[in-house]
Amino acid sequence: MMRLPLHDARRDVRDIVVPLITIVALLVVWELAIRSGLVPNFLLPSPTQVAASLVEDAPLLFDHAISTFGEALLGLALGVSVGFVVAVIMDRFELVALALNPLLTVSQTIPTVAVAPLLVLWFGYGMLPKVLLVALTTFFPIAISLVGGFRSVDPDLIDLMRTMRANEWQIFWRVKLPTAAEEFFSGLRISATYAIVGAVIAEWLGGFTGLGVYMTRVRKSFGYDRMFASIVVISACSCLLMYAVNLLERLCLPWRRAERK
Amino acid sequence: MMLPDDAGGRPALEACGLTLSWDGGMHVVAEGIDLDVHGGEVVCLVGRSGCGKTTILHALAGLTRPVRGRVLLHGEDVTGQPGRVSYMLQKDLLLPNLRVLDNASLPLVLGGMPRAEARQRADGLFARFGLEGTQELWPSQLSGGMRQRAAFLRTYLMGNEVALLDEPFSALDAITRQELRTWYVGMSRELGIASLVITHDVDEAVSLASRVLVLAGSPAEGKPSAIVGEVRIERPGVDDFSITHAYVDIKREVMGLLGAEVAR
Repeated sequence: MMRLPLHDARRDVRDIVVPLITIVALLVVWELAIRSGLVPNFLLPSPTQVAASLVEDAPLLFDHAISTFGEALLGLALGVSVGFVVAVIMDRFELVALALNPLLTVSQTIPTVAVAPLLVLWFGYGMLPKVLLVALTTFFPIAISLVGGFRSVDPDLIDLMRTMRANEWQIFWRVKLPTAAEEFFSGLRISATYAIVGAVIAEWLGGFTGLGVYMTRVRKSFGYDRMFASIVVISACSCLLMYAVNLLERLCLPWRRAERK
Repeated sequence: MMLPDDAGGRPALEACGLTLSWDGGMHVVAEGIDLDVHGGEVVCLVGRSGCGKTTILHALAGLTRPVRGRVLLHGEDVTGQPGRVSYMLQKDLLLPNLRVLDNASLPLVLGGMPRAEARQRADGLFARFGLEGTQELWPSQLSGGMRQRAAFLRTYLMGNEVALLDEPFSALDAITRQELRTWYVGMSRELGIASLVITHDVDEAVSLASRVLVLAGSPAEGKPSAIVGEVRIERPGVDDFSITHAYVDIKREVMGLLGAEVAR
């Protein structure tokens, strides 16, 4: 049965309204809990206090957010590039895949907070250690998702391409890459969320700008409302990056929309 | 197993004494396979599931090398050379990320033709293949029958005079299957394509082919398959061949060669 456009429009409105009501309800309960004294205000600021700090510190937060966002983007670009190259090599050479698989797994068992101080020690308080930490955390989901995507290609499709006299490059470009694209974007979504968090963690351990630096400063002055304001900004940055990834996916995989219909 | 001289000279495709194996020669699947297909002719290779039909087709397509024997294309040895004959696998295998027109013209693009020219050439054949109006759709927007037609067009645009088809109608409903079979026989005759179709469906083989080759054996039990017989099909000039006595007799003969119990 054909779905009516009106039905689609109602569903779209419902998809926005329901989560919005949930968030507003949560904020109201939180506000009431503080105002009624159920939770002491010195432990937890109210949403209105957080909002006031957000407005008051907006120019400062914006500058720090730009710095964090820049580090996250650069690190993500580096992580994605290295992850892509490693995945292609692992797919092309089975021996390399065998050699690298355990190393990749072990690399992910090392906690980010343990590596961050080392990077600061080696590369100083500038941008480089932050970018490297983000690259380290974002590389793995990309490499793993791409290797999985390349391996999921139907062998019959490769045979068909061979009967059309396709060379290795044509098989990669026309079959393997598009097949792996969907899994790549799943990995990229995970990496995008890691990117902002990774940059903030690196900033906690030393630096001059960034939301992590701002958080360290306001924590020392017990400015919990400002701490929460920075958390809101970090969350907004992550959402923005996720939205960008979704947009990129829609642009790069136009056939997926037709499949969903 | 050659056609009589009046059937049209040298075969387009010949298999001479092919012996094929799995596991690098450890497990013989089929041996002594001799067959030939002439231009414009549809030949069906019929056999039970698992008897090695697809393995034979893979070798004829040049995707695997036989342990023994040769594959000849108009007399030229093309053993182990992919790309010399067109191959349509069981699934339509349309690339989901390419529009139907780009899927159909893919063999031309892979062969080095500029995309615009390849699209133009493929576009000119869309009406003939019953695909008019689907050029800019994604494969997921097509019905099973239309997807199969697009796969046929892509196979045709591989530009070879021989087409190998691995159960090309198996995923379709009964009516679409019947329509496509009739359409394919007419089209391949018109274009002079030599077609070798493999199937385990005896009805399909008898409806489609001018000759049916019967493959029997059980490679999984250590008995390599071989071609045990050939049945020629002379079609009477009736609307529906499948309800004639001749059809039933031919079907019985093929079933008998396959080793099935046939009710009289």
